[in-house]
Parts: sequence; structure tokens; C-alpha cells
Amino acid sequence: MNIKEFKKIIFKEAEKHGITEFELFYQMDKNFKVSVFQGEIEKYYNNSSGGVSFKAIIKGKTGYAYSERLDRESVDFLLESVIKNSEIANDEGEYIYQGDEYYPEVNVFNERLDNYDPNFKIKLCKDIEKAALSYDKRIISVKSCFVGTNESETYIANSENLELFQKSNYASVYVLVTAEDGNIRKTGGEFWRGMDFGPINYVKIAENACRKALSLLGSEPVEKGEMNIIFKNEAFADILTTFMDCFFAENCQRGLSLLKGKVGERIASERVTIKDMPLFEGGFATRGFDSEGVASYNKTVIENGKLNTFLYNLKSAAKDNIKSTGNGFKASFKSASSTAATNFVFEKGEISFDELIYKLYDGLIITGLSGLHSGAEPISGNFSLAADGLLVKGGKVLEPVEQITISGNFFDVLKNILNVSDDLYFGMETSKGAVVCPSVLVKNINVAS
Amino acid sequence: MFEKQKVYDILSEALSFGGDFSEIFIEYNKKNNISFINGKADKIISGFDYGLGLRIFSGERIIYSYTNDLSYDHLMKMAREASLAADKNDGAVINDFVEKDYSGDSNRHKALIMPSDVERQVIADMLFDASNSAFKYSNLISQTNMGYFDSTQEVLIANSRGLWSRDKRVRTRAFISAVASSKTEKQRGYLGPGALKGLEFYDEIDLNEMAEEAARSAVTMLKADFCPGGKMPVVIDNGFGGVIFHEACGHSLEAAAIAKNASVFCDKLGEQIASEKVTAVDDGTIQNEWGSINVDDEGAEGRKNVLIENGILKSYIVDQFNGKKLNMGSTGSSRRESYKFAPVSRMTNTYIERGEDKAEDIISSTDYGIYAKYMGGGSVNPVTGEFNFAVNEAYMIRNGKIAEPVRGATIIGKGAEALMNIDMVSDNLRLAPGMCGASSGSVPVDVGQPMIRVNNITVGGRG
Repeated sequence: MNIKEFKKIIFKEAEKHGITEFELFYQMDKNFKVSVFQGEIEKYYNNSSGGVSFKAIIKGKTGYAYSERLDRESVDFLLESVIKNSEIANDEGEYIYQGDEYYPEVNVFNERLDNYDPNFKIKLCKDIEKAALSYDKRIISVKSCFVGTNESETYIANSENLELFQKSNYASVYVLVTAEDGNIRKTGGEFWRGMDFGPINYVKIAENACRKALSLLGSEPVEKGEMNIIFKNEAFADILTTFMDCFFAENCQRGLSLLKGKVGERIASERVTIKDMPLFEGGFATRGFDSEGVASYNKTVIENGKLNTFLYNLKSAAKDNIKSTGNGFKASFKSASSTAATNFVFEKGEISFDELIYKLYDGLIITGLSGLHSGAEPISGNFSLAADGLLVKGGKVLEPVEQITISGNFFDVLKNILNVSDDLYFGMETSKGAVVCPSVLVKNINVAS
Repeated sequence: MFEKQKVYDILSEALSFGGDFSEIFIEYNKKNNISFINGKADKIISGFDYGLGLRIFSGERIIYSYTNDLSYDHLMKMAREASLAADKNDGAVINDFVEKDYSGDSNRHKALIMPSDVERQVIADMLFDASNSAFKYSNLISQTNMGYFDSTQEVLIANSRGLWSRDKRVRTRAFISAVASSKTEKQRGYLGPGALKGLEFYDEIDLNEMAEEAARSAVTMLKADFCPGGKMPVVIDNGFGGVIFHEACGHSLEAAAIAKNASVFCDKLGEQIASEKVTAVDDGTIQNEWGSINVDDEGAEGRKNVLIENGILKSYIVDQFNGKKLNMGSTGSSRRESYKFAPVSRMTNTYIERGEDKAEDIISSTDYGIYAKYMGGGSVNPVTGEFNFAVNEAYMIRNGKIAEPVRGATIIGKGAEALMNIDMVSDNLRLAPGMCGASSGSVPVDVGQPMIRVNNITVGGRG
């Protein structure tokens, strides 16, 4: 059964049950992925899947359910589930959105992407692996190397006669290499994403991964204590992603954000400007509307250190008596809407990364972090994380350091940013949004080894 | 679930252009997720996951396709397209199916009370009560999050070698969390009990007690100072403390990493890789345990595998595909989150066996160090063996006694070194459930151990 037929039946059945407020959300994904190991195809994936979720507000209470099967039986399952679930739900002022007058056009679908056949992608994948293996003899293996394409369709229809459709696609490449010198082994990865394979520079992708791994071979001892550090853009993107929840209004309302009540106040160094930009051309989280049907627009979250706004969905906006900022998103059709950023863009500075290193003069460059899901506390902002890094002395990059941890507090980091370089990095899209950020120089971070 | 002739057609279509093995994995999975914040319902979602994953082996190649359009025509088309990715025709034939059914009487992990037979209000009341218990514990508790999850997964696994296995897996889990707040700080205490059984599980455990325990942990940590950093002995308590073995060693023993020469434990079978005090086991057969299985997700029966015996590496964790490369048999623990993932060697219930030391002797023989009561999650890079994990509730040990609580501790190290540095293992073994994420998705596993001491390891902290 196609989605239009499914919609017709479930809308009719809902009305038969006396349900008047409801919304259908449909998502369909197709993805292709090939990975290569030692010149041979290792994995070849070609998938399609999706489903629907149904939300109904019954006697003021909201019930949700989803199904991956589009048939008559699922209509009954969805209706029965939303009715039962609404019975134990809480009256939280949810409502069905009437829609906006204007929806911005976004450029997120490239018809030409379909023209690249599997053989093109297989060859590209083999070329990347070859380029990585021939870069340096200390690169002992390519642990993972894949080329993929994704296509996604989203459709929203509700009892307020709102109907929205969006189709998007992208291509991606990932390579992870292992470098070895003596008894030290390190890995380095590089991810690329774009709307077309046309402009791809695969040699550079392979080289970047190799350079990252090679730069970590070595083990300079580091003195423990408080010091100034640079978060390399990639590591800083991880930090921002981990602690982004504090900017979501629903977390303030639940007492889960220490920024509660601080709109208009200075919460960060004046070097900090962060914007949520769903209309950012070429962003990984660019879209014309959110999962609740609210039209997208760009907004400034922090302006020169001052907190300007939180990010809202329909429910949290209604609570604060304002309009949704269009940040009501679902991780997938299976989940209920909560809040997420889109392209979460930390404005770049004016100096180069090399100049930033000179400004640091003595300290550490943190190039990678691990354990973010466990060693960071999103509410308090405290973190204590395993890190990879490079020692800097007298403005020069020396040896890499081994087995260190860094600890501090996210809210202090925002205040302690001394400088920002111009090397914007596009972080991977997560269920919280896609961070875009440069490298930053931060004072007073604790280092242990 | 599916007619044999149709399955036969799909499996043979999948081998029409080459390949030496084809397999389908069909899944029907009904799930319920209920979460409460501060004693009020927040999200209640019911769902139906439904789809088919097709896997083909062709030499060193894995071809995988999944869909939730299970019409015969679509599946035949998908099988044909997948087959085109095979590199040579090996003339594989489809063997007659040998039927096995683990979903009924021969299910080792029976569910007595099916989730679908319980009113949602009963679960809601249970979560409401747990929230109250946490709030009652202390007026420092500012928020509670209580969650409930169940899934009833029915699968059919059939392959070209004649496997035809049905299984039914009923799991349930609760999430108990309490946040304690001061003016500037927030600390969270957390417990997550779960089992491979029905809702009789909640008659066997006391969520209210667990909510109090989560509240106690949060309040304790709120008052704690930052943990000091540096190298020192760390005593790790039983239960979820076993996450250290899971991260430091378990992942690096998985055949996918071994077959690619991407693990520090390659070519180490029969060698000493851990201190003599360490015997470690992966056991998928423990009745109704969260990480247990009847059959793994490629149809092999669960087993008890000794991985390390008195420090000597005895076995890897092996799936069919990587087993062929390594010339080893399956160890019955190839797993996947759902039909959307090709299965690969993973852990089930993995733990360090009981030793002969006594917990009290471990503490009293430690002059200075950290006592890690509750561990948080962690991760590992199997290539380098570098692991890290967080300690949710930690204390200083001074002069052989547990002293003041400390917060913000992270433990990092390299698996090969940490295993050799385990110098005491007590006898109070306990298991604890968790979710483990890797290339075949997020799967339920148990970690476990008795109390152990690692005599020299890096602690990250700010104190």
C-alpha cells in the first residue's frame, strides 16, 4: 500500500473512532553502501525501509504509535495503540499545527546523484583505500573504507489539512586508517559528505585520515595540571554536540538546563556567536520545515557571548507563550517529537589555525576525544574524557601525547574561549543536529596522565 | 510466518549470479516504551518493527539488503539485484530445510507474563510509585526519570545450508534515574535492571528500592569533591563494574577485529594476556538473563565459552563469516540489533569469574586509591586497545579504608596492560545488564565480575 492510500484509510478510520485531532508522519529511506578491504569488495549494502507514525490527541491527551508495515492491519494496530497510550498520558498542551503561510525552498535534493552506478562507487572506494595505503609506509592497514548514498522522503499530513513533503539525498565517504611505529598504534579517520560526487577530492580525503593517524604516533610525557589548550575543530564539534541540550527550551522547563532564566545575560566569552541555521546552503541538516510542520528560519542563539534565545518546539513554545522556533524534530518516525538543532553554526574567527597555535604558545592541542557518552554530564556540564593531543611549546607543535584525560566544565569552556580560528569543520549529522565549528583556544583545562 | 517454497525461491534467486551462501532474517517486533518525568507520563510509544534482511556470502564479500516490503515480487527483485554483487558463481545449492522452533516449548528463556497481557495503567502506577520513592529519599532530589521498555521479537532465520529456525525473544527493562541538585550542581544516580523474560520480572525486583538507591547515589555525588587525577590502584566493585572487561578486552576478542588483524589480541591464543587471577567467560545460556539467547542471529545455539582461563587466552568470539576466514567454528554469539544489520560476532553475558580474594581484604590492603562503586558506560578502540569509562559513584581509599566520595572520575588505559594489572579478584560475582553498540547495532548484553583491583591505572579527574 502506498502512503497516500494509507493516509486515506487511517484518516477515515480515526474519524470513525471519534478522533478529531491527529497527525500522520511518514519517512522512507533508501541507502547504498559499499566497503572495500585490501582491494576487494568487503560489504555491499542496498536497502530501503521506512514507516509511519500516528499521533492523536484524545480528550486532551496525546497517544503515539508507529509501524514499519503499511497495510490494513497496521491501521488497526496504530489506532488501538494511540487510544490505549493516550489513556495513561498526561495533558501537556500538545496540539496539531495549522501550518505556516510560507515555507522556504531548500536545495537538498540532487537528481544527478542517481546517475552514479554501483561500479563508480566501488571504484571510488578502491581508489581511496589505495591512496591511503600508499601515503606512508607506517600506514599498516585501512580498517574501514566505504562509499555510500542516502535518499530520504518525509511526508506530514494532519487533521488541520496540512500536507508537507520533502525529499533529500546525499553522498558520503569514510576512511579509517591504522598507523604503526614501533609498538605504538593509532587510528585516524576522515568523513566526507556532499550532494554530488563531482567535486570530490578522494586523494585528499585519504591523506587527511593518514595525517591524523601519523600525527599521533609518539608519546611525549605531559605534566599534569591546569593549562591552556586548543580544541581542534573536530574535537570541539564533539563537545558542542554533547552539551547542546542546555540550549533546548524543554530542558529549561524541566529544570535540566543550567542556562534557565539567562536569556539576555552574558553566558560566554564575547568571541562566541552561535546560530541555528536550517537554511544554511550545503549544511548537513538543512531543511524547509521541522517534524511538526513548522517552517524553518535562521536564528541567533548566542551573540557575542550573550544568550539570545533557546530552541523551541510547539509544546515548549506554548508553555512560554511564544512561537515555535521550528526546532521540533524526531530522531526518526519511530520517536515522538522533541527538540533538536539544525545546522548549529559556531561563527568562525579571523585568524588561521597556525596563528591560533602561536597564540596558545605553550599547551596542548586536543585533536580527538573519546567516551563522550559516558564521561560527560550533559546537565552539569562537567566532563572528564580520554583525549588524543599534540604538545605545543613556544608556539611550535611538538610530539603527540599518549593516554591523557582532560576535564573541565562546558559552561566554563564557553566563558574561557580566548580566541577562535577560521577553520570551519562540518560535523556529522546526529539526532541533535549538525555542528559546524572552528578550532578554539580555551584557558584553564585540567589535564591528567 | 512464511512459506518454505517462497523462502527457497528467494534464497536461490539470491545465489543466481554467484555466491556460496544465502540467508534471510525475518523479524516481527512489537515494542512499548513508557517514560515518566517527575512522576508524570512524558512519552508513551508503541511500535511495530517489521522487515527482512537478506545476506549473501561470496568469497570474502558480504552482500546485505533489507526492506520492509515483504511482498514476494519485491523480495525476488531485491534478491536478484543483491546477487549481481557476487563475484563468481560457486554453484551453491539449497539444502532441504531442517525445522527448529525455539519460540514454544523448547524456549530456554520463557516469558510467563506477556507484555501485551498487562494494562498500561499497571506499568504507569509502578513508575509513579518509583518516582515518589526517589523524591521521598531526600529533598535534594529535584527530578526523576523513570522508564519502562518491552519488546517481543519473533524471528525466522533460514539459509541455503538448510537452516530453518524460529525464535521468540521477550525482553523488558526499566530505567530508574534521580537527579540531585544544589544551586550550581546537578548529579544523577541511575539503575537499569532488565531481563530476557516477561513482566513477571517486576514481581522479582523492587523498583522502589532501586529508586531510593539511585537517589542515594545522586545525593552522595552532589556532596562529593572532584576526583584527583593520576596513576593509582583502582578497586572496581562487582556487577556493572564488569564493563571494564567488556571494553578493555571483550571487544578486542571479536572475530571481526581478529580476522582483519585489527586487534591487539591477534595470534595470542594459548598465550598469557591477563594476570593469572583472571578467568573470563562469555555465556549466552544463563536462563532469562538480559544478554542471553536461544539461538544467535544466524541460527547457532547459544553457548558458554571460556575466553580466558587463569590468564591464558582460550577462545575468541566467533561468527560464521569471520570464523571461515580464521578457520574456527562459530561460538554461537553472532548478533544484530534488527533485520537492518548484518550479524557479526558480539558478546552475550560476559564476565570475570569468581576468584579467591575477599572484598574486605581488597579494600584493607589498598593504602591509597579509588573505590569505584558504580561504573558508567565506556568505549574502546579495538585497534589500539585504548579504552575509557566513567565512574558514576567513586570514593577515595585511604589507609585501607573507604573514605570520602569523589566525582568526575574517568578511567583510561590499554586493554592488554590493564588485564595484566588485575592483582586481586574476589568471590562476589554479580552480573548487570547494558546495551552494547557496534557495527551490527545495539544489542542487549550483560557485563559482570566480582570486586577486582587494578593495581596501576590512569584516573582522570580535576581534583
